[in-house]
Amino acid sequence: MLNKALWLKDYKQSKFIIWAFWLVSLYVPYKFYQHVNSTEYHYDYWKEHLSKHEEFQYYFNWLFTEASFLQILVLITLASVLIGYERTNQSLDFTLSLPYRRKDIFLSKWIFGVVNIIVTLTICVLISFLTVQGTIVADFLPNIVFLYYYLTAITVLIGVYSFSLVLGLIAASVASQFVFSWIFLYLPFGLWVLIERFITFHTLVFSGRAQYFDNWLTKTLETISFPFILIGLDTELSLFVEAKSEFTRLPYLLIPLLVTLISVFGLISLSRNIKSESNGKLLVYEGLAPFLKVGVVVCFYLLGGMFFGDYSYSYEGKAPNLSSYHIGGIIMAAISYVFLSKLMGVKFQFGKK
Amino acid sequence: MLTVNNLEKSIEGQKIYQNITFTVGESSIVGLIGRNGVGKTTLLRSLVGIIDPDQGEVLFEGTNIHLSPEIKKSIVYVPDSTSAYNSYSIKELVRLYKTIYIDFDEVVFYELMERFTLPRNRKIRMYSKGMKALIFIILAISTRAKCIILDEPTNGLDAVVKRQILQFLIEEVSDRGISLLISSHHLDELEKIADTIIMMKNGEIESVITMDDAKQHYQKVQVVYKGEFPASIENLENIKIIKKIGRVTTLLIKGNVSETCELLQKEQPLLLEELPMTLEDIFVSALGGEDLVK
Repeated sequence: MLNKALWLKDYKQSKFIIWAFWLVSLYVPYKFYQHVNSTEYHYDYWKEHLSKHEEFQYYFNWLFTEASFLQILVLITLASVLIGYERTNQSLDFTLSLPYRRKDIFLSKWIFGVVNIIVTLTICVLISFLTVQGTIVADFLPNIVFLYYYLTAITVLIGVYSFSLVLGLIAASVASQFVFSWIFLYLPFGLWVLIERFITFHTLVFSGRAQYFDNWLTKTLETISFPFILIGLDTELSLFVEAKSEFTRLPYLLIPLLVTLISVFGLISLSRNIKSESNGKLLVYEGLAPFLKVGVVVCFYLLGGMFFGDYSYSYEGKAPNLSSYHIGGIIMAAISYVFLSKLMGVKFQFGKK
Repeated sequence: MLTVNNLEKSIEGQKIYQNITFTVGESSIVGLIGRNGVGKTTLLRSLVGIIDPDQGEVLFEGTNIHLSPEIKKSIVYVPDSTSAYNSYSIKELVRLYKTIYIDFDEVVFYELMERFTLPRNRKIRMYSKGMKALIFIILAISTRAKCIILDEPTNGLDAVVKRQILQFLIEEVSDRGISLLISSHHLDELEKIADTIIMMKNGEIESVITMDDAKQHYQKVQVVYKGEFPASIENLENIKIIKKIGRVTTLLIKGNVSETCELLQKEQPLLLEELPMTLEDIFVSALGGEDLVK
C-alpha cells in the first residue's frame, strides 16, 4: 500500500492537482491573515475613537465557503485523475500489468490522497494558528476553533475523496467519475429538494394548501449530503465564537467517517474484479445502465417540473396549472433520456491507435 | 515457461476468444497472428492481468499470474500505444521502472539507448513513433524479465527501425534466453524471427505451427505442363493452387511432399522447380482463404 513505484506513478499523474489542493488550502491561512488585519484595524479604530463609550465588539467573519468548495472540487478531480483518467488515457493497462495486487494498487491511491489531505490541512491549520498568535484575535478566538475546523475539514474531505475514488471503479471514464461524484455526493439533499417541490406543488393544486415539511428533515438530508457540513462550517463557527450557540456539528462527522469506511471496503472489494474492458464508457458494469437511466429520467422529470411548474395562484384564486409542471417534466426527462442514451454508446478514450 | 490453459473471454455478451491453450517455452519467439479484431490484443491483455478471463488460467513457471501477480516481475508487457507516458522524461521512466523491477539494469538501458543513438534528455512525446517503440522495448529488455509480451511492436515503423528492432530482439533471445510473445499481422517479420506461430481465427486458435514443421511439411513449387494442369493432381487434398498464369501453375504441397512431387513428375512437366516459401503461403493454404491473414 505504501509502494514507492505506485506513489511515483500516482504523483506523476496528479502532481498539478496536488499543488492545486495546496493552493486552495492555503487560502484558509490567508483568510486568517486578512481577518487578523481587519480585526487589528477595527481594534485600533475602537481604541482611538470609541473605547470611552463602548466595549470592543469582536466579530468572527470567517468566510471560507469558497475554500471548502474548491477543496472538494480539487479532491474530486484528484480521485477522477487517479482512476478515471487512467481508464481514459489507457495508463490503467500499464498499472494493472505491474507485479502488484489490485487491492494494493487502489489502496495505494487512497492512502496517497489521504496522506496529502492530512499533511496539507495540518500545515495550513498550523499556519493559521500561528498567524493568529500574538495578535488581538488570539484574545477573542478560542483555540478550539482550529481543532473544530481541522477535524471537520479532514473528515469531510477524506470522505469526499474516498467516495469519489470508489466511484472510479463503477464509472468507466474520467468524465463520468467526476460527474457521478458531484451528483451522488449531493444526491440525498438534491433529491429531497426535488421531491419536496413535487409534493408541495401537488398538494397546492389538489387541496389548495401546500404541504410543507419540518426543517429537521431538510437539515438531516443536508447533513447526509456531508460536504455541506464543511461548506456551512463558517456560519456554525461564527455562531459558536460569538457565544450565540453551542458547536453541535461534531457528531455529524460520523457520516463522512461511515462513508469513508464503506468506500474503502468498496475499493478493496471492487478492485479485485476491476473491469478494464469498458474503459472510456459511462459505466463499468452494463447491468447498472437501466438503473442509471431510470434515476436520471426521474430526477430530470422532477427538475423540469420544478423549473417550469407554475406555483402561484391566479388573481381570481384559480389553482396553479398542473400541466405546466408535467410538460416541463416530460421535456426535461425526454432530453435527458436521449442525451444519456447517446452518451452510453460513446467510448471516450484517447491515446489509442 | 508461460502456459495458457483453456482461456475464454466474453465482453458484452460477445465471445472475444475461447479455447485458447498454448505454451511459450524458454528462449523461444512465438508469433501471434490473425486479422484485426480477432482478439489478439484482448488475449495479450489477459495474459498480463489487465483483463480477467472468464475461464481458464495463465501460468508463469507454474504460478497463476491472476492469483499471484507478484510473478509478473518476470513478465513485461509492451502495449501497442505508449502515448500515456508522453509526459514522462527518460529519467523519470527509468526511475519508475527501477522501483518496479528490482533487477532493472540502468547501465544496460543507457548502453542500448546509445547503441540506437537515441537522445536522452527529452520527454517521451518529443520522440518519433519509431523511437518510442524502441525505447519501450529497451525498457522491457532492461528489466531483465524472462518473458516479454509485445503488441504490434513494429506497427507503422520504417524499414530501418523495424530491422533494428527485430535484430535486437533476436540477439536478446539468443544471448539471455528470454522468451518473446509477439502479436503482429506482419507475417514477413515474424517469419524472420519466430520459431512458433499461433494463428487466431474467429477468437480461437486455428493452428500452432513451428517453423521447422513448416519447412518439413510444406513445399511451394512452380510447375508447367505441355497441356492443361492434370486434373488428377488438382484434385489431391494436400495440394493448394496459389496462382495460375497461362500454363504456369504455382502450388503449395501440404504434407507427403516427396510422394506428391513424384506424382507431379510422373505427369512429365516441362518445368518443375521449388520456390522459396513464405509464411503467408502456408497460412493462406493451411487456413483455406486469402482473406484470413492480412
